Amino acid sequence: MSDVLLDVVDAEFRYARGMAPAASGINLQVRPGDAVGIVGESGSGKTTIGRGLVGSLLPSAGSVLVQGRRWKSVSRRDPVRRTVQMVFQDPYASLNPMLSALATVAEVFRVWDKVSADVATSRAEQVLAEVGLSGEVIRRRPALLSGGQRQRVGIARALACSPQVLVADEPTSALDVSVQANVLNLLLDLKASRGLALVLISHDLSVVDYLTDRALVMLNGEVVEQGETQTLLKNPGHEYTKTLIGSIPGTSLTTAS
Amino acid sequence: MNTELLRINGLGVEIAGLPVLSEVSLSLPTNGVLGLVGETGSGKSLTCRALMGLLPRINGKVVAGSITFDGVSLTDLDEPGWARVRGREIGFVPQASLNALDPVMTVGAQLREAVSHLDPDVDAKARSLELLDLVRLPQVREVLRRYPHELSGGMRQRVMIALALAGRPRLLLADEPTTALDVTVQKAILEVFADLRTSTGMGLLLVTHDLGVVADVADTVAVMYGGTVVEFGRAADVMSTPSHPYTAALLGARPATRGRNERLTTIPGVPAVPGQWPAGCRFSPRCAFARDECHHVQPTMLQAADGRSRACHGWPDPSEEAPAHV
Repeated sequence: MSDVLLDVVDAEFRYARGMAPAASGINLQVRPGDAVGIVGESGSGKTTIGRGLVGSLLPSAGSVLVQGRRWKSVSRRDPVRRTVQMVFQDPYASLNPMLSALATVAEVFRVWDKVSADVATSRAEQVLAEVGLSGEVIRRRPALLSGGQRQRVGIARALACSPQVLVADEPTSALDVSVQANVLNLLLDLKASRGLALVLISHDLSVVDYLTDRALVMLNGEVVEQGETQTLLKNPGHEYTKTLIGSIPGTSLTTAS
Repeated sequence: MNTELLRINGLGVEIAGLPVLSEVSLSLPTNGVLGLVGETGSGKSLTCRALMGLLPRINGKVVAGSITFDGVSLTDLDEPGWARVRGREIGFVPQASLNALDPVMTVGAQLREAVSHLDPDVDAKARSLELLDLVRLPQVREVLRRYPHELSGGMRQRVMIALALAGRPRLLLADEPTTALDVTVQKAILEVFADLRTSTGMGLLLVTHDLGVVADVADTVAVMYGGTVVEFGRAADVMSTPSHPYTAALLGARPATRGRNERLTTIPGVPAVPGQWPAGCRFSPRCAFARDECHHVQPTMLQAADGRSRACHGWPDPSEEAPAHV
């Protein structure tokens, strides 16, 4: 039990009372070093689960435990919040346009570690270097960064909390394929170097196949299939999973290489 | 019959005096499907704009080369001339077309407007229904009464394609038509394009950054980098044995090409930016195979014996080189 970082038991999520649940019947455990994929189409409830995992949406039934505690009992400044951090799909929309990359990350250290501005800045420089950003670039505002650089800032901001789980919601969907490769490599490196657990929300099965060990397939707010990623993709049990796999463009390409 | 529908030769474009496209060459046979691939900023959408005569609106102009459509030059057309081509000869499905529909007009009203403008001799209502049938929308009469916000993303994209077909174009340009859509919807839209090709005999120029989509639907592919075409050839050949280092790098960066937890091949550096193109080959600063001449001399498109062409100094056997006829 003690090594379970996130424990989701029969959780159901609604955005308003009386509204149909956006996701229900969710069961998931995340332990250190795990890599879990959540796949499905728009509106299937992927992001809702992500919000439930980081505690920004409380379950309307069932429970989500973070290090054994319900999110509801975790106050805004409780250090347990640091356990799970989120990386967003659109780094441009999720970064403060008025803050430089360095200031964005330094703010986390000032707020959480209550250190002086100088210490916060030097720690921020370290984290940014860890995601491959250094030099003059880190003093730029988001508008002057490339898409890949912005996503690195988003990842650095999450890492600044020293999380044990990274919930990445479509982290590469807005990026070109060569830039995506860089970000995926970075996530792979962080998984190894920090022993991070990763929850990857993505509609791209090739990315999920590449990065994760287990996966949930979502349809209309429900899990239709859950299991080892490779088994799931090779021998899909549910019709919907088969449809998803059959819709991936360029399968001829994949087998050729 | 494999007659040529479109040929772009050595096209150069400037926006406000800044060169943004140069030496763009490609061709498309009647009823063919050409995939135009490349990353953000490589010049794909600008090539579309040039083909629609929409450059003046962004202060751009053609400064070199030619665009020939069905044997007729489009390069020197004036605005009335373009008005006869746009929508009627060449249809256009713009990028972010989900936002391109008028939110306060029903689908039917928008279709009737397009039909009565582009095809005034037919019954607009009947033709609207026919167009929605062409893009395989179910319950077409119902859809006509709907406003855009009442439709799903995939349905709206079908409506956009129907609008582009109103003038019975012989060439359809589709700029990232499936990028914002779910994979299952994307597959359905790509099937619509394949059907249209058969039922209308039109040619399709499909702009995409997704190499998988190109592999599935295109006969030929043009790969763009830094405002120019770097490789052109049969899609199956280019995808299976890329002959330009950039194409090879793009293909290698796909997660599907690697085993789990194995690092992906990346392209070092950042993409070439218009106005800051490097001397010589634009890909040379990022190319693993760059030699001295690559940094000084811009390579021209040369055609090999198998009909493929590429712009690269590293051709295996120089004796095979012959001037390109793309």
